[in-house]
Amino acid sequence: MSNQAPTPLVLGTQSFESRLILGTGKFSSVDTMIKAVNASKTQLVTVALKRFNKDRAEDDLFAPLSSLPSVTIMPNTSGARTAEEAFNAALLGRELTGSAFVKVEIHPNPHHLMPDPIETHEACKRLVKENFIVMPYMPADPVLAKRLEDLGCASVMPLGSAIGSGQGLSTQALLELIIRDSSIPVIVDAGLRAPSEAAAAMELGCDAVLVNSAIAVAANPSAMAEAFAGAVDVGLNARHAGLMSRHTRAQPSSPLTSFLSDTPQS
Amino acid sequence: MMNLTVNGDLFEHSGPPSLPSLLTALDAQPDQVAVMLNNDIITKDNYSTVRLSENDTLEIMMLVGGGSAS
Repeated sequence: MSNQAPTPLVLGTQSFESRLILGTGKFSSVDTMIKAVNASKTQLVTVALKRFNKDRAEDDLFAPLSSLPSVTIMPNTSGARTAEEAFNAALLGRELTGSAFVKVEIHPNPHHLMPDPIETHEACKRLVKENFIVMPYMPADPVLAKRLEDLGCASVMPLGSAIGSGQGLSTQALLELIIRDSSIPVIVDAGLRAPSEAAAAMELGCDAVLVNSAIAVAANPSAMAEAFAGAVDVGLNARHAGLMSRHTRAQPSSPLTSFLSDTPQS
Repeated sequence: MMNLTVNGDLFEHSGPPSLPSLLTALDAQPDQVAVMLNNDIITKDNYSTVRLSENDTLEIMMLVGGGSAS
């Protein structure tokens, strides 16, 4: 999907002007999160599900998020370790929010949080059949990306680096392969630390980025959300402007002949 | 008294065998939770008609902040 004209991001049946998707975890308060969502101008946010516990009351997220008219809520299946758990989480998320969007996220190992490709594929297959707009978080694997596209997923969301690691685009070479072959939007999900990395992802040809930790744990989350929004625009504009090719050797940008000497330089 | 498994824990429910009664006993706001009863999703419009039975297993979920395993 690289080099396309500046058109909206289309996911399933819905169009988005913003190409920055926000995660809602790790913020110090619901109020701080809502302010960051507003500052980012995002139109798509992801939320998690957890077991209700009356002894550990949590602030309700749905009411404040659903009061933002331009924001679509995308429940995720974070915490699921199998396709079955993710499938049930998706149904519960849809029941809670009324949203057809689901971010499929299955990572069985809390040490590295790498997505399970086999369970992810199985969950996506079932959820597409249930008419969800399916957005899988996935390893940066070009073969899996095509398999998920073939299932009818609305996008693929390969990781830039491990969740919450802030290691940026450590999978860049693989992301380039995914972008080159994908007919559905490619969204970098996880690992971004700095707005410059979001700009780099967009320059590379990504269609959007999903950011959570980098904004939520910033000293000033709203300011960082605004910075990421600007970086996404900058990166997209740069891509549309047409980046110069890389060369293995120097290429002069001014003529090197007939200057003070008549001897041409090679 | 009815023995239920709620979110993996045993719960003795003393009220009527209805979902609204259980949610009240748990201090859960009906519009802030989604419920699975013995592996089936209970849609909001079925809350008042569903009947709970001894040894039923329920999962009661709510939304929380999260992007990726936070």
